[in-house]
Amino acid sequence: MKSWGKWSQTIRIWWGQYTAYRINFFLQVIGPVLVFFFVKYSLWREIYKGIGNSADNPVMIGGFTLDSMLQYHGWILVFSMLTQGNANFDLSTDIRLGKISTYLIYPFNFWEYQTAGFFAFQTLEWPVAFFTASILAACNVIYFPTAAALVGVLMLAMFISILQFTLQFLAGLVAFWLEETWVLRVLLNIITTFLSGAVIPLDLFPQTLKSILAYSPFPYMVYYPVKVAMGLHPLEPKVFIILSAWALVFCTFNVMVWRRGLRLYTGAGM
Amino acid sequence: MLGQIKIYLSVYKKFLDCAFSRATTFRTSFFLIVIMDLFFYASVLGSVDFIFQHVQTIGGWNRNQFLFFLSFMLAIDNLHMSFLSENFWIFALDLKSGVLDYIFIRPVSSIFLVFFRSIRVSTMLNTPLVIYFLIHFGARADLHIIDFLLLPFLLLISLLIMVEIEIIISTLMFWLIEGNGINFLRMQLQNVARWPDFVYGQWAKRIFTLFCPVLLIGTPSVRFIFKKSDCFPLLLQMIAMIVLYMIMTKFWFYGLRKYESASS
Repeated sequence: MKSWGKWSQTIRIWWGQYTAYRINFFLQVIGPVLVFFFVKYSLWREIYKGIGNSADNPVMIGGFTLDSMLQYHGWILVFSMLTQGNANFDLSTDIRLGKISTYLIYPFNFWEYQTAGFFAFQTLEWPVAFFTASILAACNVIYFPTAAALVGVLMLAMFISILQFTLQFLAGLVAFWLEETWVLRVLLNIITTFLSGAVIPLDLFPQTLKSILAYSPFPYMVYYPVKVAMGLHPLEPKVFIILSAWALVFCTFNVMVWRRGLRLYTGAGM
Repeated sequence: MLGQIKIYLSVYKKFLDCAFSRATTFRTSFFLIVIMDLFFYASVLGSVDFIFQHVQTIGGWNRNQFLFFLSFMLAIDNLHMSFLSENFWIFALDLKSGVLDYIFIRPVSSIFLVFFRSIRVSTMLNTPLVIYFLIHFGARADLHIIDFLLLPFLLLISLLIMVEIEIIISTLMFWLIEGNGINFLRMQLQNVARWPDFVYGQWAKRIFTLFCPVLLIGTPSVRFIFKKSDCFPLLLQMIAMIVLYMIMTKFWFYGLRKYESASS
């Protein structure tokens, strides 16, 4: 109970931090995914127009009609909001500027503080995602699945966001060794965005690359959940196991890297 | 005038010296930036290449023409990342911390000092690769020698327009406490500009050509290369470059007057 009080207070502090500069929050967190969707929406409409797609003559690309392609990208927009985290930036800044010294003597661990930040971020993002999904559904871009499937999809989103968080945490911890940690964050973002099928569906990828990707966590981060939300793929329990296993792997790395990093850390001037 | 140019060149040489010594100090970051850029190029070119395995043309352009356009945009991006990009992030930080006070009192143009002082050497390492993309896809798109000779000039105009738009947007930071959001807005506009104008619908095209002319960055130049009679957009690009320069300087000095030092 005592511990819960610490968590709720820390989450409140994070809410305050995130919402202190609302324009900044919008431009930094919501704006990029909206623009990403807008560009893809425009691009795919033009591509389908170019190959003579019409209501009477629906053309398929990689098994997608224009409607299903737009639906795919609409769901990506919703999923990006549900699963994206913001952990790495504050984390690496705290390490680089020596702010973690204070956390080392607090009765609340550094990882607990960052995880509270993650929960705070998610609670702000989820209403925005629901609102966006409602607008997209009202415009007939996406169609809501059945209630049972929707619950499954939301559970999947939760697992993916935890996996994303562990990955971002790992990238942030590299600040113990690196001067410019944003590089790793951006690199991670480029790789996951491309290989998860967020830019183009994996169905359009060459077969060899697709087969290799099946052994990585990337398809489960965007492609698979979106297909489930579209009702094109059944929700398999093994996916939760796969996501948990990958999250566990990254958690283990996080503990190892944190311990090694802490041995190197010098809190100068504290 | 010549004396002024000499002073600015000598200051810029100092900036370059600092950039090189910094690059050799943080070697891991240096190579990570090189790798990051390579992944970025691969994802941009790869996405379009995968799409072209399923379609013949997009907006009337074939695979080689489209990849040439992307290479052109990557070349602008490479120049931008090498010589300018970092300065916009530093500007946001300096505004917040009050470091700008010391910059504004120096006897050199404030725009020059704020937006040209930090240079990223690691990105320059990828410049030959971007030039290779331009030549490779340009040759495949049947470009003539004259087209290749025009490229540096067209790249410069496109880069100038991009920088002018970005400085205008960044000036908004004078009115904000936290400027990073503006930098994200800037990056999103770069994303919009990274695709040819025919991709966008009529309204989006109007907005991004007349009000926030990011679609004038690359498309007019590449269109002109493909079809010499298509010179009206290029003319529009030149006019935009001059008009944006005037807006940029006026708005910047207006912003400077509104600047409230964070350190005082």
